[in-house]
Amino acid sequence: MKLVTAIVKPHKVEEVKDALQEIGVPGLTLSEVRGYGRQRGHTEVYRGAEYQVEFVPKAMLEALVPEAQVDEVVETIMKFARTGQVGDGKVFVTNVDRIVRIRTGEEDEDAI
Amino acid sequence: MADVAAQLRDRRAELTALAPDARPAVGRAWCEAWTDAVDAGLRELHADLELRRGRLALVATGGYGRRELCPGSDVDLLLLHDGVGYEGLELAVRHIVYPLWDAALQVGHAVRDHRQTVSMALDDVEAATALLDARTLAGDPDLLRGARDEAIGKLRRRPDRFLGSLADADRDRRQRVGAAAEVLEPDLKRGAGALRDVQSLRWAAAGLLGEVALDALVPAGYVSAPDRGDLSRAHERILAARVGLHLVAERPTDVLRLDLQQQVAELLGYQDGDGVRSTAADLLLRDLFLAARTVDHVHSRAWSLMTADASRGRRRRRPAEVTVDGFEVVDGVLRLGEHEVTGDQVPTRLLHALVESEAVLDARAAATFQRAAAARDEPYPWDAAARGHFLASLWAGRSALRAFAELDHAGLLVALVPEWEPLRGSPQRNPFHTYSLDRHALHAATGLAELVRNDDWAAAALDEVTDRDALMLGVLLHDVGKAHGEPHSETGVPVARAVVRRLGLGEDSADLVETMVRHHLLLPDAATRRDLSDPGLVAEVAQTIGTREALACLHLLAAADGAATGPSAWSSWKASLVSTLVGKVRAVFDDTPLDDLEDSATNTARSAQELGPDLGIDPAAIRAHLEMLPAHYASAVTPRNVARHALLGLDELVPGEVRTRVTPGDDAEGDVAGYDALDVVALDTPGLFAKVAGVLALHGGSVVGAHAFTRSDGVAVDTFTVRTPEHAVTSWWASVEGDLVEAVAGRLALRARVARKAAKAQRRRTLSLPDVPTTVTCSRDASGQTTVVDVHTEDGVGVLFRIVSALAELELDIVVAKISTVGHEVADAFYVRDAAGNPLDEDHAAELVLAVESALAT
Repeated sequence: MKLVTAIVKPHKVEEVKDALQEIGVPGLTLSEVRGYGRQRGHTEVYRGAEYQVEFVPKAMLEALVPEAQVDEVVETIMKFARTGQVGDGKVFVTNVDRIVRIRTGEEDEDAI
Repeated sequence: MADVAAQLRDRRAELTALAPDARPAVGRAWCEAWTDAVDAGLRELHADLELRRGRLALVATGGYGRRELCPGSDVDLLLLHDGVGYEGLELAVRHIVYPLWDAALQVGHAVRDHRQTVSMALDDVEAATALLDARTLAGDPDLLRGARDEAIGKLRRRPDRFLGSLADADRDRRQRVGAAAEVLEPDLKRGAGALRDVQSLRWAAAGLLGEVALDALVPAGYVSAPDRGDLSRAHERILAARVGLHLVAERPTDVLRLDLQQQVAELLGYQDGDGVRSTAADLLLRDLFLAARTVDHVHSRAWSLMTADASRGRRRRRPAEVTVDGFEVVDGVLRLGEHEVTGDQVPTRLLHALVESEAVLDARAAATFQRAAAARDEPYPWDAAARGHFLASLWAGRSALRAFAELDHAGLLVALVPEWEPLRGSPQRNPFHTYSLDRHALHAATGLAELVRNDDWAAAALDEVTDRDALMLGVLLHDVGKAHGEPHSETGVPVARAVVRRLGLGEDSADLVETMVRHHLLLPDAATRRDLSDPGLVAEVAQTIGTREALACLHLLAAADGAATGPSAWSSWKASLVSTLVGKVRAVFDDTPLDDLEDSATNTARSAQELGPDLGIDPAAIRAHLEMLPAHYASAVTPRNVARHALLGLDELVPGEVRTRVTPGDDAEGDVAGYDALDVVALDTPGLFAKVAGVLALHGGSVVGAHAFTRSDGVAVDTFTVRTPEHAVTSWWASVEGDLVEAVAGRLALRARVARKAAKAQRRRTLSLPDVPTTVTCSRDASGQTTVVDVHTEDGVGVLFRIVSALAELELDIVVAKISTVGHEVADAFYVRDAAGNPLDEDHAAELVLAVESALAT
């Protein structure tokens, strides 16, 4: 089982959410975060000081996904979160050792 | 566009490969090659860009603008536009900047029009200086010219304001970062005397004269023509070192770290030489120190003059003139005036004048002095007046450091004291020294002056010194032997005596200086590695030192030397140990009988019993406790400590049980501030000490001292002085004591756990610090009762644990342990006895050496 994490532009969250629903991802967690990458948080047409580095508001989505579905989920996120402009974000996949549904006690893939 | 990104990536890989045939010479040539590659890529991108309207120029700013792109430098880019419109700008950025990001370059980009550019430059000093260094890569050059001209014009209208901001930034930076001219790990970009200082001169030229060029400073009189040449050469040298550093470190660091120095030196073409202090790294550092001193010197002098002119321009002030001993000092610069330069007195009078006025030396004057000094066949002679000026300058304290630097830069220090030559710019490449040899000597000497002014104990010690000239010279010359080979306490003696003779002091002074040079390590070494409660030791030290005066001199020297060495060489712990030893030695000289073992023991016993009720224990119990211990115990341990031990050992102990008590260092009861005391009481076994050392190692604490005694009922009463880790949580001691209980009960696999922790720490370490070979030696202590085991080795997690485990394996009883760590070197001493309570015989000692060496070899 895998955890797919995506850091995306806030205004793209709805689109990504709808698209993931369509391919059968039943649950998502959303956090509001801030971050920057190689571009130092600057927008394209940036006129401030070159040496400054800024945090920019982003949205972080997390979903537990069975291994077989991971590729599809990653491609979907990429397709719908992309604007082509700097700051689109990243997707990364990590391993999950164990999952438990609190109400029923179901484990692992049954708990997704 | 993908092409350009790939091109840049490839070209960068080529240039950063460390094989010499793959790349240009490490230095400016490298910067030019890389700058050319980035220029070409950007021009290609600009040519491909189709804008619907307006003009866009690509401008390189900052270091990129200066064509000084080092491997770790940012590519700073300004997209200067006129009438392009927002959509066009977005398109331009995607077209031009994205490929740079894709090529994994560190880019600082800004998109501005003329108005924004000018206003940014007026608001922000960094933006202004970036603009001053800008050049057009592609597009209409008039865009940059217009913005730059307007910005410079406006900055020039208030030169004092712009120069003031530059000067403030300079001052903050130099204070924060330290002098590249003397510090063991110089910051090649931001250090005083490093690259930024050169740039700040160019920027000041722009603010005052309108031209961003060092050459402009020459006709204006701020920099002399010969200095201009020296400055260039120094600049190239430091730049080359920076390029080398970036290549070797593979990251944008500007601090030339100790462990990288040899590689960088070899990359720059230096080779190991014969003789003292001539590894490639030593030679590189020395060249860098001298280069940085040139930059520092020119920078200080030019800035004094420029600041004065900038403020004068505004307020039309008259120049600030002062005369010191016939020398003219105008606006902080000392000039020759009517002086005859060939007089023998001039150098020391000049020194004194520089100290008094805190001025820098005028360029023409310096050149004149240099010529005069070079023309002499012999060094300058000394008389009483010269000596007076020289020593008074040292006694002036920290403020004299710049004067000495100025004097040295004019070649006069060596003309006065030829013995100084091998010390100039000589590095000391180990982790605990901060300064070069010559600067260390000057810091120590001026530091002595500060010490006696600020510290009561030092002022009192000074009172015991009649020959203060010899004292100051002894401090100045204590390490002079390091330039001539080890052991420097020996090799320095003839050199120091020669200097004393040269300065015209008598044989008595020479003898005192010799004592200081020969024995400058005696007090710190004895204090940190020998049992101070051993009267035999104290007698030995007293006999070596000889007189009260010499003792005071050596005490002051130890403190001044320590402070001028670096933070890990001197600490409150060390200082207190040295003070204790000095007190005992002084008692010998005063002929007060060094407290007979019995007397001091009796006093301690009495005081301990008096304390009993405070600590909740019956004085009779303390008496009973003392009766079970040898006489030596009560003279080695404080009364409070005795009471604590008695309390812990009151009830009967079972095998595997341990009782502990922690007295924090900041407690009123504590023995030395900042170090906690851990009392351990348990049934004695040879492995007890090792278990304590092991548990502390696991938790990141370090033992700095320990003593261990055993009662006649078989109970060990030990006390460990511990330095807790820097960010220890409040429950730290509770965890340690808990683990100690487990360890003594045999429920903790200490050896395995410490080994694991050591392995992890080893992996995280930086490479190539100079190796510390392990040496283990045994000798008899001064009283002949125990064997002293001295262990020198490299520091690491669990080192003490391994040593002490080896001692335990041989069934040895540790009575006293002195642990000292300086930088990454460890110097421990253990006073041991065999299981029968005797010092070791030869065979046993040989086994011991074998065991400890083997334990440390892994």
